[in-house]
Amino acid sequence: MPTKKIYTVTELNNSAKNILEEKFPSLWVQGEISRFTLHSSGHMYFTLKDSSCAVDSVMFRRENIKLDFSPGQGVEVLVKGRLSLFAPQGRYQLVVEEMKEKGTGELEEKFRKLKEKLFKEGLFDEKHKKKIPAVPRLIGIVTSPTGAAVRDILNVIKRRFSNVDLIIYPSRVQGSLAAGDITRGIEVLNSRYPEMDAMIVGRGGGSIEDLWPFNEESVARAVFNSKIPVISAVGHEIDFTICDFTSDMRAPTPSAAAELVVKNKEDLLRRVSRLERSMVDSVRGKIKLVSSSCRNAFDSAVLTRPFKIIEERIQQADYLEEKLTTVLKHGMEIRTHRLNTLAGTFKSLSPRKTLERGYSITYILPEKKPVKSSSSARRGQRMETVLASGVVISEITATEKEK
Amino acid sequence: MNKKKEKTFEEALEELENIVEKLSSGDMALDESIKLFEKGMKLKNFLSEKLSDAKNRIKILIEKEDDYIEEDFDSEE
Repeated sequence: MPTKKIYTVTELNNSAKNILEEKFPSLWVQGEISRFTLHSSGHMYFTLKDSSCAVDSVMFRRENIKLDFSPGQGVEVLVKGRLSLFAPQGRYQLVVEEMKEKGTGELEEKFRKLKEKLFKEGLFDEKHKKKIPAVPRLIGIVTSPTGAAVRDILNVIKRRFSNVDLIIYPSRVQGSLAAGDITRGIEVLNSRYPEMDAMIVGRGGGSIEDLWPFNEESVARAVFNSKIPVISAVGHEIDFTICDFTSDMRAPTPSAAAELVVKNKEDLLRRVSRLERSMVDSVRGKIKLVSSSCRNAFDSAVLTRPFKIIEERIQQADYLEEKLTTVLKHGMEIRTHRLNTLAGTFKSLSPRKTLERGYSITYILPEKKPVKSSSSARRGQRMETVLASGVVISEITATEKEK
Repeated sequence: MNKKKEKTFEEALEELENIVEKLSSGDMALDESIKLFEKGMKLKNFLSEKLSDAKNRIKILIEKEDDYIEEDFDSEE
């Protein structure tokens, strides 16, 4: 036999299962429910079909207890889920995680019309979208103060970067008065808190009727007109509203909105300390470079052009040492021993060793400027000459140009 | 609420990032680098301080006589 791989049935099904699960970890499907059974375990089994095809589907109890309607035979739904394969029977199936009833005729039609109208007016254009600041300090929330949304948002924000102030505008989020409340909330926050960095407008999950206020034109326009960036967070990931389209950013859920707007504190701390480290490293590298070039200068050029080079390097080293000491004094958080090491490097460049070899440094008084050229000295000026041991003060009687 | 016009966290972070970039680009005089370094350290301290300043105020707007007042919001119901 050729060296072909021979699968057992189990291997085959498991391989197929892996491929399906990898390829379709998350997808949306629209269709009609048929052959619906609610098993005693609480899991729902059904097929989703359209005019020519069907697919086996399951929605586990864990997921389906969150549904706000009862699915059944003939209901048109939109589902979010993943593909898998039921290995014992080799049947592939859709594992449904979220399900939403397709809007009933009238509301669906209203939704479609308004969406089209506002789209034509350009209210959804990318160019109108405002940026959400990376680290906001003041965030508004327009939602019900007793709803799940506000609780979810506060929980997330407390877990994260907590240096942020929140203003809640309490509003009804369902029923015929809700749209007016939400619209007023957006306007009130804009007029009272022009410095506000962002606001979250939303509510938790519900039926299409419950979420309807967020499909009202007045709300969509208030969101669009807001000077403060608006994050729309209505219902679950599967729920889309007109308010989502006119907002500056859509969040799949209220918790997700909070996560979008408030960065993780730990991430920020890490980012800051990474920046600090790289700053310290660059400066350290640079100092090393300079001090090694100082050494080279001492080694090679000292005999030919001694004073010019030595003076310059010594001055530079002194200056840097002084600078670094200032940095230390200011309590900058460079680790002390590291700086001390650096300061030590500069000390080793001190003029003392050179002086011991018979060189000296001369300063013009009273400025105590090192003399590098006879042209910077004038007759009658006093000078201080530093020797390996002791200091000599002298007066200039004559100067001569270099030969 | 925050009336003081101090640097925002973002501005400081951006400034610090620019400094780090300049410092690592290499061709800068040492004393200039050290000046930048000092400035960077100040920014870093500012940022750490902001991050450790762990208070958040949660207020709810209550309508009162044609206006609104801020009241503390008790999130534990």
